[in-house]
Amino acid sequence: MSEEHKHYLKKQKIRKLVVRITQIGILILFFGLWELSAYLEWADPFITSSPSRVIKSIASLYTSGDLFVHIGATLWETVVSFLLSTVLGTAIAVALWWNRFLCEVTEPYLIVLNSLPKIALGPLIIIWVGAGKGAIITMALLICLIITVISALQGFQSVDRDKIDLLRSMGAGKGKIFLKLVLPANIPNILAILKINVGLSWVGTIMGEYLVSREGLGYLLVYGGQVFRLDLVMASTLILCVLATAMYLAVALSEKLARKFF
Amino acid sequence: MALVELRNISLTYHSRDGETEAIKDVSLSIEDKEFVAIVGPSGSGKTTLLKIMAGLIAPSGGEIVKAESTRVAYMPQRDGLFEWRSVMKNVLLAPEIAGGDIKKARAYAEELLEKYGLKEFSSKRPSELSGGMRQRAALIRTLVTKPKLMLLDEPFSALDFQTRLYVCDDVLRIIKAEEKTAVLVTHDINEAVSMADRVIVLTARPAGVKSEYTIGLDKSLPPLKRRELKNFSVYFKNIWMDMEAPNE
Ligand SMILES: Nc1ncnc2c1ncn2[C@@H]1O[C@H](COP(=O)(O)OP(=O)(O)O)[C@@H](O)[C@H]1O
Ligand SMILES: [Mg+2]
Repeated sequence: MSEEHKHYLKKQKIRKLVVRITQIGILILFFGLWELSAYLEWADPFITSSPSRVIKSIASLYTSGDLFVHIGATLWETVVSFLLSTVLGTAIAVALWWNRFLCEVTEPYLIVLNSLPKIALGPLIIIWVGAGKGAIITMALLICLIITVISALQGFQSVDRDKIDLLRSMGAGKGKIFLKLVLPANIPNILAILKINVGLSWVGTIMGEYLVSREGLGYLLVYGGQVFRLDLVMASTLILCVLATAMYLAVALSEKLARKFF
Repeated sequence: MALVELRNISLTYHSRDGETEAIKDVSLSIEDKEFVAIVGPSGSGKTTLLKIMAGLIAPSGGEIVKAESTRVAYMPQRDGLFEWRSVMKNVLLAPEIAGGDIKKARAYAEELLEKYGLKEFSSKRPSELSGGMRQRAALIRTLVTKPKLMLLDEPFSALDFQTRLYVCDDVLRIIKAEEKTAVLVTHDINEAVSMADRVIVLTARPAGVKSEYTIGLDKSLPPLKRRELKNFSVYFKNIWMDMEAPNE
């Protein structure tokens, strides 16, 4: 390795470090100023809460045993709707890819359903599915499903025609074309959809919990707002940040691993 | 008897924007072990003609006469290797789909890869291969089914000029060594004259047979050397003038 390259690598390393330090610095500054403003009563801590109050609030949730009940409820709903929408959405996309007639017939319906703000279906969902976990999952499912179908189908349809012809010339039927070509060629696309769905399933679950729930982080948010316990609202928001980021990173990591193979 | 014979083949594409007459009354025959090049300007209908010969599109009119047992392999424009499969798994695609004896196919694939210098790359991804090697891998993929007739659609068009010259030599050498019959379509007259036993010139769209030349160049020479022969330029000029001439 040349001196020049060593120098270059060192500079890169320092740069990365500076970026990291600045990021952490901003975080500390933010929470510090927040705490300070509450402590010196620049702002009313009743309205703005403060980091120490948030921590206290989380601690009391923990000691009462409610913390993991709420986290568990929301996490379960999110993961179920995430998995369900991905599997179901991909399956529907496969069916539409398979049958062109079906695909053409459903196109306008997909567009309408995709444009509709799903929250509008809230009342219907509650009446049809009942005001429970089912309604929350249905809401989250609706939000993720249509976009999954549309994106997956688009990926399936954009597979190289030359390669399809190649397989046909080898005597492959639709099933083999799908398994040997369309599906593997779409693994990166499906993984990208997963990344979008992680975010959307959180949106769906929290929205669902706003509507009906008796437990979960969305419920805590609404409840905290109603009884004006801003500590609770901030605490829930913070927990949500951490969980959603963790889930996103997990999916992003599996995407990275899978990309090595496809 | 000819290996394959096209009789009065025609094809019209229908789409929402209208109809395109791509092939008009093409009759030609391919003899066993012959290397035939079909040249025509871009968009004349070469790919269409090849797809008809491969049985991928049914012609609108005319008939194809060939023995049921004549196995045909088709190599589309661009090499079409699957990036997520190793070279070996790419080569084994056709046997995998046919669902026959995969062990036997693997042994033959190994033999071919070894023979044509790709053995050490057999577990590599196509993206790790050079353009020339990719082309060779694609060719081996079509050879592995032991076809009688190989249909090659502009196999060199994606390669840069220098690579193209030596890959021409390469492909012809392999096809001759394996004693295959081949039909190659191209818009490049040089390529056609330097490789083929016979050149069929197509008119502009709709494609019809304009003329036919039996190439009398020294077949013991590789294509690159044939380009230096005196008669080469005569063939080139005649074919070029045929392609320039307006349709009758
Ligand atoms: N699937 C299709 N539908 C409609 N027109 C087509 C289709 N495929 C090719 N064509 C038209 O047929 C003509 C011949 O195409 P092609 O056989 O690909 O020519 P070449 O391979 O000689 O460049 C072109 O004008 C092209 O636009
Ligand atoms: Mg073409």
